[in-house]
Amino acid sequence: MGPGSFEDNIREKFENQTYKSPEAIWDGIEGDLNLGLLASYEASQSRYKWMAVAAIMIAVSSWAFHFYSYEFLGNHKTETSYNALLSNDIDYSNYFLPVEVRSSRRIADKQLLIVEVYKKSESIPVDDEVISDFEPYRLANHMVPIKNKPGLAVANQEVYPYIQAGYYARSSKNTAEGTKLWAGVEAGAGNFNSTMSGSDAISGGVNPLNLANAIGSDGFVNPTTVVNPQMNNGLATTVGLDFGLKLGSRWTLESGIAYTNVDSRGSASINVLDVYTVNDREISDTDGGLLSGSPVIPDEGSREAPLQITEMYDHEVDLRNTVRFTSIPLKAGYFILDRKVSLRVNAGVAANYLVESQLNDPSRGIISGSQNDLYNDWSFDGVGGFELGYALFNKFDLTLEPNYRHSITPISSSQTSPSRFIIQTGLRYTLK
Amino acid sequence: MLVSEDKLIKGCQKGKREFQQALYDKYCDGMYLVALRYSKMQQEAEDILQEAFIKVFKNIKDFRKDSSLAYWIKRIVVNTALNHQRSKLYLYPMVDITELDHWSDRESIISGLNHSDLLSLIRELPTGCQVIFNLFAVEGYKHHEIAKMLEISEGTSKSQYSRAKSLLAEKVLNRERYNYGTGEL
Repeated sequence: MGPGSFEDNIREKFENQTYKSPEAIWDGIEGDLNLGLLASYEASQSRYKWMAVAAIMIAVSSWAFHFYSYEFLGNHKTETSYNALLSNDIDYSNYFLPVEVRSSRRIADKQLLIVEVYKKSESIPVDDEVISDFEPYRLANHMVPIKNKPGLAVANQEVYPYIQAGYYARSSKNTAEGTKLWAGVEAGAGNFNSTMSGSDAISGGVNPLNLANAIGSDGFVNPTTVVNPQMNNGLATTVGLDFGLKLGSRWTLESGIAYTNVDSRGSASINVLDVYTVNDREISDTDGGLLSGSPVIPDEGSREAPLQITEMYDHEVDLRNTVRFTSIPLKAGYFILDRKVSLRVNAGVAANYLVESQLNDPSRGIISGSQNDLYNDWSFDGVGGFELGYALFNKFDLTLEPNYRHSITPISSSQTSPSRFIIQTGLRYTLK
Repeated sequence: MLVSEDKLIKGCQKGKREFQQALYDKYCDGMYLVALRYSKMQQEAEDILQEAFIKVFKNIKDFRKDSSLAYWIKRIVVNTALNHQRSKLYLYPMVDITELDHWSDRESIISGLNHSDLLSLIRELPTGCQVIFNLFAVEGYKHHEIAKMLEISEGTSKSQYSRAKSLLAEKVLNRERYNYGTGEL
């Protein structure tokens, strides 16, 4: 045998030869590849989580600041940001049943268990398609820390599930069969168009003494009529409870009760008849006739006599109107999207009951008191808008709902029908 | 999945799972044999293969077409196997030995084996002999290259290789005696 030929012979023996490898090896490789994907997901998730927390805190702080600020007028919005990348959106305990442990391998200090699982029930929709009962589905790789003995029974070991990215369809939030019922709390703010006319009721709240002091008159002041109160858009804030029912896969019915406080400011002109006496003055008729509102100035040498002066003019008064009412909405909604992020359009009606209305002049106290005559006890609004939801945890959803309310029967007793635009945020809990 | 090797490589570089599995399916059995040659137990070979392919997928972005894909993967498998054996080689360091029985016909004895029998006998060798036999006789490395890889002297590599051949030939003869029932084991 020549030099090198032994090694050539040995190499030829092994050339193009194969040996059947166990199938479980690929499972282990795949598990490691998924861990790599998870690591990159988790890194980005952590950033987005903290951004979402910061955005919510800023939104809540901003809303609270504006709610307690009496100088604020106009539209008021709260906003939250959503992290659409959180991965804990699937309740595996309700969704999958592990059937068997297919194989196990050791990777470093952990025991890797590969399980084959089956979907639980044919009535659970996934991506709006019903999956048949026993469709096999590979779940995630379960990494188990090896404790004392590698052969420790599966049931006694802790299981840390890892989601196998891209290996399943993301489910809708329908984790329960049939109708879904939820309850929640909401808070919101918006504008309120509080233009009103019909000043008769206002005049009843005028305090003549305070008016006279404001004018500086020593005589008798008689307010006649208030002309054209001009109110700016007010700030409406609302808190409430809501509950809803999901009918089928997309339709919803929702109701609740909300308490709304509206704060608006403006001004009004009070037409004043001011009558007072001028003493120790000589009077004479100069050009004939006394003009209304014109003081008479006596000439020299004229006889002194007390003079009663009557003036009529408009006195501007600042107004602040606070209205409180409860509202019971009834809305139908339709889910355009119902996954971890949901989008629902809704429309309906709301019945409003007036609790209290206060109209006053903040600075001088010229106008004060309850002015319930300005508003109707009962009124009805048409409500429309959409709701953006985000599934925070199992059964908890965060919602953002801008909606517009237009009066069907006006809340104001004036001819003008105030409308309002409100943005509400809420937290919703799925009861079943 | 039947695709060209270029598409397979590109798909794996993009991290697409179906291409990764196709590449694994294509080379796993051949590389498993390589892993078996460097291990003593099946579990060990499985660990080597799994670890090697994880490295393949992580580093395939750096693959350059200056060598074939199969050769590149095989080098990764061999290096992974050596890493696994390095701890054993450290515990049981190889030393230069004087070959007492220098058979002239041991190569012919070994050459008569088929690859399955040769594989099982190689796996029975001491770790150092096993590694060096594989690297020199099967992979085609030179002794000075082996010495550098294993941080031993060239003389140690040569003597361990010679010892490997002697042990293999002895095992072949022992098997033949056992098969013929001589009772002299």
